[in-house]
Amino acid sequence: LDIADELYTKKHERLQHYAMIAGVFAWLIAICYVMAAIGLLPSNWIWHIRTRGLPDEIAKNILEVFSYDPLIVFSVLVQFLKTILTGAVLALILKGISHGLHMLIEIDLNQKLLLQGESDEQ
Amino acid sequence: MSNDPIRRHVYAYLSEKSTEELLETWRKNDRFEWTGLAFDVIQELLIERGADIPGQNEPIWEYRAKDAINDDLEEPTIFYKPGQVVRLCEWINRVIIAAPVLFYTQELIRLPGYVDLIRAYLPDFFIRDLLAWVFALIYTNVVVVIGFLFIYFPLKGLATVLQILMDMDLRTRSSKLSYTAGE
Repeated sequence: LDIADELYTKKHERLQHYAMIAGVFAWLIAICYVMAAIGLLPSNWIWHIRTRGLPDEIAKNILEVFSYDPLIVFSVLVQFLKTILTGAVLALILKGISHGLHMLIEIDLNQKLLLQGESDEQ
Repeated sequence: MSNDPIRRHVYAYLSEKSTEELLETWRKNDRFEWTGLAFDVIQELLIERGADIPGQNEPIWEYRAKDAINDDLEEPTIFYKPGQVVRLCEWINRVIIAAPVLFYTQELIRLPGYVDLIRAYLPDFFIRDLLAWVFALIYTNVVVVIGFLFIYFPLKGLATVLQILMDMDLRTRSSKLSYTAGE
């Protein structure tokens, strides 16, 4: 482990720092998008009902809206899922970057250890 | 031997392996890890070496990196967990499947609106409705394909890079282990 500590340079530390930030941001973005999707549900719901020319009072009853125009319910649901998907894509990319950077550190240290072992042997 | 350069390359690579290793690969029948060509070459090599060709297990078609890592990795990783990377790749594949379905659903819901909009721009003649539908369908498909490609390429690229990096890590790890074992 001492040898590994010697090989772990400032460069690795910086890279690990970036990886950690990307990992944290991935979660933050995922949470923000889920909250946004939930938060936008009521306004989307009202907007779709108004653009179809239905009265606001009907908005309280999903089944009634569904019986008038099922597309309103589908539209709102799809909009909700699409917001979640966008968040998922961004979060996955950031999480992937985080894992990728960690793997690069790991590979670099492995190779350094390997090279050091070979030079010791010679 | 065949004139096919790929087959020659595979032959050269596999001929460096011991008969036991080849027999093990043959028996395991991991079709995700090895191609059909590799199995043909293994059979050819085993026959050349005079080995009895054993029966094969049921072919494995799925990616089992998680199992492989858990089985093979004698030294744990320090900076990342391979299982998490595999799970991430699985999630990426799920999102890649979900995205076009969602895009198509959304655009199909909007399709009547597009038809109305396009119809308003077309002059009044007998196939106006038909043309409006055709243009709306073309537009819908273009929107869905472009939207999907914007998601597909970064995610698929990321998943591929992660798998390559994981393979590289496993290779450097296994050569380090074999070096240590050699000592």
